[in-house]
Amino acid sequence: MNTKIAARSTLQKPSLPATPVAETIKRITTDSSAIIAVTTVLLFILACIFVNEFATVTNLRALFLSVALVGIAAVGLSIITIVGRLFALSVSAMVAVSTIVFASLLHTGPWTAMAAAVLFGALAGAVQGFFVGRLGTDPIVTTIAAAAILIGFAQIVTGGRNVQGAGDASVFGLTIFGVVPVQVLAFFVLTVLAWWTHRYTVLGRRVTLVGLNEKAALVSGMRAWPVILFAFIGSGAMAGLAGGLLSSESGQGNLQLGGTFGFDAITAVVVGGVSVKGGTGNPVGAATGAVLVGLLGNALVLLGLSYEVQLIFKGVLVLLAVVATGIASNRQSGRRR
Amino acid sequence: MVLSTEVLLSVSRISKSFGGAKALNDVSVDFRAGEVHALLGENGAGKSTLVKVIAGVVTADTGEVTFPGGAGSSDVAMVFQELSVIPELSVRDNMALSMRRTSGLLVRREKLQERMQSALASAGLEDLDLDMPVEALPLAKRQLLEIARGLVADARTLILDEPTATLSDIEISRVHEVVRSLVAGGRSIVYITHRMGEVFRLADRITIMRSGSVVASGPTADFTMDSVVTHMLGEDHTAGEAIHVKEDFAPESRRKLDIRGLASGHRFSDVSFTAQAGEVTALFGQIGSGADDVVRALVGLIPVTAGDIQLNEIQLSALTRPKSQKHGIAYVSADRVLEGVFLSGSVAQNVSSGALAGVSRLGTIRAELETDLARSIASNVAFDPSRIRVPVGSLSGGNQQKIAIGRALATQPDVLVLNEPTRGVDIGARAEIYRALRQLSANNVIVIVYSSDIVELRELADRVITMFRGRPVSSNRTTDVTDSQILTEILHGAKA
Repeated sequence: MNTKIAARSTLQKPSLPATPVAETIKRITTDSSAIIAVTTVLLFILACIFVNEFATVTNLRALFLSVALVGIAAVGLSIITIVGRLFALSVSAMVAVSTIVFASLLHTGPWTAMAAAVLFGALAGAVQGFFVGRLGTDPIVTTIAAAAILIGFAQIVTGGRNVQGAGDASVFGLTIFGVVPVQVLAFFVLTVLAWWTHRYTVLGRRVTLVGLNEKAALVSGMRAWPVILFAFIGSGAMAGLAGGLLSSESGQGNLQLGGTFGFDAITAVVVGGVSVKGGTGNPVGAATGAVLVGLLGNALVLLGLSYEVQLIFKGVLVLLAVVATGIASNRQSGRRR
Repeated sequence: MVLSTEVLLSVSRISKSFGGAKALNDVSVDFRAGEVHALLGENGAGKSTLVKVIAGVVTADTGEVTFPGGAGSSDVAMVFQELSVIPELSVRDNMALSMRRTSGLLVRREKLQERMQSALASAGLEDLDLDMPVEALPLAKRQLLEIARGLVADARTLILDEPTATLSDIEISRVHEVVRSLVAGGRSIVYITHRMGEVFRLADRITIMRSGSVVASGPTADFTMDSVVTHMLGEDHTAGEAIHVKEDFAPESRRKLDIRGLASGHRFSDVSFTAQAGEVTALFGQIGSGADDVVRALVGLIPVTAGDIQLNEIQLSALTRPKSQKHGIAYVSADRVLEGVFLSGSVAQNVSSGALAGVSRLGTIRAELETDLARSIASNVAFDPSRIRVPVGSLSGGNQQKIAIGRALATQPDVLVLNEPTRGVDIGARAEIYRALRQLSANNVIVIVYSSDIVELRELADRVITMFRGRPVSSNRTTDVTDSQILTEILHGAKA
């Protein structure tokens, strides 16, 4: 086995001082988030050409508006995936309960209500992160349990009814410069922030390292659990924000809201080239994945295909993405199956 | 000892390349009935490839494997070094898995049982309950069960790949008895091992490989321990010589690690020694001797239950891995893939992983600082600094190990603890790693090594503490002890 690896590395040597173009191509084919970005752009161009009424300002705004909130939740969820803890299956529940938190506190002002929704998400994430990180529980099981508990409590508190917010949430319905809705701006800003944190900060590097190999991280004295806790807090806060923004659209809180967010966020993360093995991929990938999925859905609707067909397309997309990510990560680490 | 002449299996002029690298180069060997044939060589010498060709797992590029006795490759069974029994299944099910030749759809239970029991009996496991789950068996019995699995397939040639690597003394002698009784029954055993002692106790014939070629082959009586080592390493190799590097620090600033009466549960106890900068201290013992647990306890990976550790007169207590790292104790794991490196991470990311505070300002990583660190560490461990952007997983084992060590060095440790520092590393990289470690020691770093390789001990260490069954046997300067004394101590515990 050793000889095999050695042989490969000697073979690769001559290709190192290759042309910049060849280098770029190689980098793109080994970097799953680059694959996804290229795919998204291609799909966008195709849709502009072939789908009627796709390339209109109204449609594109509607598209980004529909993508923004799921995108925020997906960017948050990607931190958990990168730190090597698969997925939180409590995203939908956290979004739903956040809509209630926001609506119930709207009378204290939109900003405090939003802060409360974010804080709620962070707290709910912290508890789950403590279990998964400190006590080493399985993330899938833990977050399923958390989702049940959250929804249960919220049902008791609301009596299962709609919560009508008593206040004005229109500040979150503004459109900046007349074209960019606040929600889309928030999605964009958070994506950039998450990208910067992941790429340039010590915290982001720790998330990557723990995701890549927790034991190797421990060997150099790095504790995994605070990093995992951070990932869940960050992810929870973003789910809380998504819930708050969702609620601000109608000024209502309802446990039915955000029901598809969980699956959509997971789809975005996986399609975005974030490896479920942890450590590889980045939040921008998840954001791009959200856009790609939204784009596909939007185009399919405009083409007149039914919801069922869209669902099938989504599922196939996830599978393709998982295969592509697997191939890319194997190629990147020089392994072969 | 009368050597048999009936050749059961003949390998002639086999060559095999993987990619561009020649794993086997024109190899010819005969394996005879009634003989234990030891196959020796350094890691990467081609032993594993050869036996895989024999077992039909790998196809040779040129050359052929013939069976003069008229048998076929199904008469060869391989017993792997990593146990391949399935722990959750019963003994019966595990045995059944290796019975390849069954006719028809249904298996006759009584007949099956008969065959299994006779195979188990030949492997020295006659009392074993067939319905017992394998995980309930001790390691040695599992290893014997591996052999029984080879026997139940009715193989005349058995390839044993390091069957005793993880066993204790008594268990080893048990395996030896079984092996002897098998050859007495006319079988041929190909025996791969790194334990020199057992070669001379057990083997009738020795074949030594180096860089894909057979460099020596003949009856055991033609060899001595020294000549075997020389063949394995090559003539130009100066075995047993530690390079000396001049100390580069003021004698009064010499760092010292004092260990008094250290114990960790049932793993080891009563371990006392002083390690200081300027010399490399080695703990030497078989797997299971507790010597490797001592180094793991020092770095806080397993708990210390009694005793003192003092670093430069400062008491260290309740060590965890993060805490011992804070005290300046860095660790290089024996398991490179699982604990040593981040395979998908770049060399630079690996190197900076333990020193993030040093390459960042206000929590933000500075790319130029990270690059500088990676370059300087790369040159310290003799790794090509132009390759710091390459993922570690694409490097050879030797280079990966250099990065694992570089990762520890980047933390600027006072103490560097290494567990099997050159396992699976080729000779060239080994020499470079030894040089880097000696240089480090000369720069006032305390270097402590656990090793189970006597050649490594000779080339790297100044002081050796031998261990046997959880207790230290002796502590000597390596120049004051002979190989046979060291081997006696780790195999029997007694001071020679």
